[in-house]
Amino acid sequence: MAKVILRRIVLGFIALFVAMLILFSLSRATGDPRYIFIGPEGIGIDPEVWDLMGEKLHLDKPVPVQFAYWVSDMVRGDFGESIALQRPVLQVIKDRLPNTLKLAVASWILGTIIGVPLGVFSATNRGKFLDYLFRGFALLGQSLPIFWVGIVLIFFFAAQLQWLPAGTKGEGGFISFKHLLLPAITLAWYPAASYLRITRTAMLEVLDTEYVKLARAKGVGMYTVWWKHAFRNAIIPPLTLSVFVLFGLVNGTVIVETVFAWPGIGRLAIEALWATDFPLLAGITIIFGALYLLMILMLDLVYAFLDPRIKYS
Amino acid sequence: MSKLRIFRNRNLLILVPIISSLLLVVLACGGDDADTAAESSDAAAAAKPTATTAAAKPAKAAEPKAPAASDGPSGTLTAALKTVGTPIGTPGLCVPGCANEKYFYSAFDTILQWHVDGKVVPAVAESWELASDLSSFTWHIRPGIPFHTGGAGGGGKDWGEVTAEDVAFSFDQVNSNTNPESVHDVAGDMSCCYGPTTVIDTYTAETEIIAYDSRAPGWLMTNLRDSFGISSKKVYDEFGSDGMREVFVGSGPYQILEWTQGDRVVLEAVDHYRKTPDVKTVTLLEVPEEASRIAMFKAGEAHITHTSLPNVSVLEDAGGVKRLLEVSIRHIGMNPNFLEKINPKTGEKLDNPGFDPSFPWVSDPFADGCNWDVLLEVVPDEADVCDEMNNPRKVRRAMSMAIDRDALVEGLLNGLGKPGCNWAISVDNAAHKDEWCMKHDPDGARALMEEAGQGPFTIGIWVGNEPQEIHQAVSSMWEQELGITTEYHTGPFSVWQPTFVDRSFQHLVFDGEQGGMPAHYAKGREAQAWFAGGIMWSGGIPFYQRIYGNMLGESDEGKRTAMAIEFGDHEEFWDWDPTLWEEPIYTVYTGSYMDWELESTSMHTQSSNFIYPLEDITLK
Repeated sequence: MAKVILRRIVLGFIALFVAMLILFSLSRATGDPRYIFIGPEGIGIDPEVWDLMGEKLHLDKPVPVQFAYWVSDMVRGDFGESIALQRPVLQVIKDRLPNTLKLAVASWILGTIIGVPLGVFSATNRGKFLDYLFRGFALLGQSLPIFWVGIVLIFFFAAQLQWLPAGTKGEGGFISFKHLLLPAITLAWYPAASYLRITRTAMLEVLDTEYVKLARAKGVGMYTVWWKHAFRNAIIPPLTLSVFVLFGLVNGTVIVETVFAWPGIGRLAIEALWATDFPLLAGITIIFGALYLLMILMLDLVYAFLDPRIKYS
Repeated sequence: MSKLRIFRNRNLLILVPIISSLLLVVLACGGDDADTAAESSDAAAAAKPTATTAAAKPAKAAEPKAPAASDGPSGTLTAALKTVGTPIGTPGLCVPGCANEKYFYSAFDTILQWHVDGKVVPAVAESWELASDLSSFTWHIRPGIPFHTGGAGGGGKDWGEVTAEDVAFSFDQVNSNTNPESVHDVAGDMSCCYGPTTVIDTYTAETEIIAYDSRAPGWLMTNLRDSFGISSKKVYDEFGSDGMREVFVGSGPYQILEWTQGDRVVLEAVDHYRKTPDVKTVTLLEVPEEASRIAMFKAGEAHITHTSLPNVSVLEDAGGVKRLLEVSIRHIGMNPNFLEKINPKTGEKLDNPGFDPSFPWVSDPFADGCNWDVLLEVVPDEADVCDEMNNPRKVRRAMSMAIDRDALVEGLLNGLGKPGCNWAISVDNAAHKDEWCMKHDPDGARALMEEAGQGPFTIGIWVGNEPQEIHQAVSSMWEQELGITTEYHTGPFSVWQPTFVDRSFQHLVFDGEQGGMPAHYAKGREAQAWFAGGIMWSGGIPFYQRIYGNMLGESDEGKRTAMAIEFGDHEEFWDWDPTLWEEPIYTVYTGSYMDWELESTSMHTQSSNFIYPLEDITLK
């Protein structure tokens, strides 16, 4: 087991290094990051300032040396300074990450508590009205564009009914539930639909197995069979999905954060992209890449815990 | 086993998600905050009698205390803006495009102000002098302007009053001649023309002029366009450069209580020499999505917002009152007419790798038998212009004639703008001439194309990240009337920037100019060869380059205005930059909640995100 974990960690580092290499190459392909300092109005900066900035960013060195500087800084935890914001990258990410985590976790919880039970219920009512109803809910959730859902919710609940705020995270440092609700629902619908579909499929598969039929034949209660025997055996696919969903939510809040003026990391990444703010973009990508690899590793460990049939060697 | 018993009740399967969702709704509606403007506006309206704010006297502002609202600032106001900018407490940290600095939301003062009547009036400097030999500006600082004591991060300390030392510090911070690390928006402008600012005494500072800029002091020293706020040297000395990203101590009518990047700015009114604000607390929220800003405005969550022109009427239907910020003149830079041979400022030879006379619209003054010097004439005799220069001119003219500007204004601007005639001089400017306006004449355009011996061709337009309606409309007019097909070239400006700077760019650009600028200000400000990294949408037009320099150095306003008219006549002949329309840029506010009578103004078409000046707002 220890060997497997070690191997996964080493592979993770290799994956991260490759990601860094790709990221660095792409950044250099899009041009000199100093051009951000010359605005479209045409009034530029002095050549001396240009050179000074080049030295600071090691742009006066050959590209492989630039890469070496960059990797070495990263390894030491120095992600540099955002070109557009003129602040340390880690500080900027640290400021915005909690907002994204709040939104992502709320959406994850909402998506799970709605999607999984509905999936089970849909499977146990196969072919009945409620099954079609919930599958319709899933179909809409997976096909409606997220920005459209957000804007429609804003239109009804903020502009027309004026029950909930149209955007922003509200005042104060923690969570304003009033401000959280609409973006969380918008973000949760798609994963809820995914949970529903995958749980339904897994449950149907298990419900068709001999041991479930035997349990029923032996007189075990229907709900006990569903939840004790069937659901536990059907939980692996939704569990796998849940990790990807959570990470996807953390990583994919770009649209929702923009529509709801939520000051999170997704919006920050987009701003960095448009501004050609390479240090910030690289910082966000590397940190999220590392988090992703960590979560995958943890998922593998949880698999073994939940399903004793899974063995690593 | 017992834990699973709850699932024996079939209804619970449905109830669990529903109850959970309802719980969230109940928590959400539980009212953890009272920050919606709708609530606060009701409260404020109920609590506040009609406040009267006497006008300040910026032109003769010797009074130490300006009149304030009858019972002091009160009430709250919320604005939903596209961005609240990057938090900085001193202009030296400003990065290009830090439009939020205008001017830190009334929290920082500029040395002078641009009055709404189009005059420069005193602000931090109660008076100023330009040396008779045009070698310096002398600023006489108004005594007794206190720096904020409650600004965020400022520690509640008394930072003293604004002195000549602070003025010199602020000037020298943004000027790349005195601070080589400055990347402030005005750094390039300052570097051409200004040396250090020195302290003469506590209330007197002097700025050296290296090269006279006839637009001064309006251009860089006021809120007209890009300028900079005066910040405290003491605060900077105590907190250092890095600290100034979290410390906001200014001397304007509002102090900054909070400034969170990507989220909000919270401002609080203070007593001010110019005008003590009527509104006590102003919250600026960053709401990047336009639909969300409109929803917030309609729901009463925001009292001020910005929107694209077609949606202005939507806000007006919701009780909005539009306030004109500036007029943007949209025009088409017909790149790559890189015709300039030398840098007119330094005399150095220029490389123009993008110059390609095989494009039907690019004039070639270097062809055999052509006289390059006609490019320097105001309006040359057409007989002196060789075919290699004149036929592309006819093509440009035909393309301009094929554009139905009235249809564009009606269709895309909801009739709120007007057809444009010259890309730098508004039709409302006294210097405007009717003959500069291009009439829509498709038949004439086709005849002109035939005269030039030019058939249909393909033209490239750089459209930014994606084509806008105006790109599509003009393209279809060209295709329909002249058979010209269009290729869109996409990508952010930062990616294309190198090709602008090294003059290798080869596509057309639809750009916007500030229509509110005085006619006597130097024309062709984006003159490519004048500034480091400077660009010019149409390429490098020799007449533009020279008239820019001539107007910059001419101190006589009448002569400069005459030059501006020459500039218009020259453009009318050559059609380097066909003008499309004049588009108003509005900010919209809730008319039932507030009034906004301006005493000073700013103009900036690059980012229609200004709500300046906040101190001119009064609540109803």
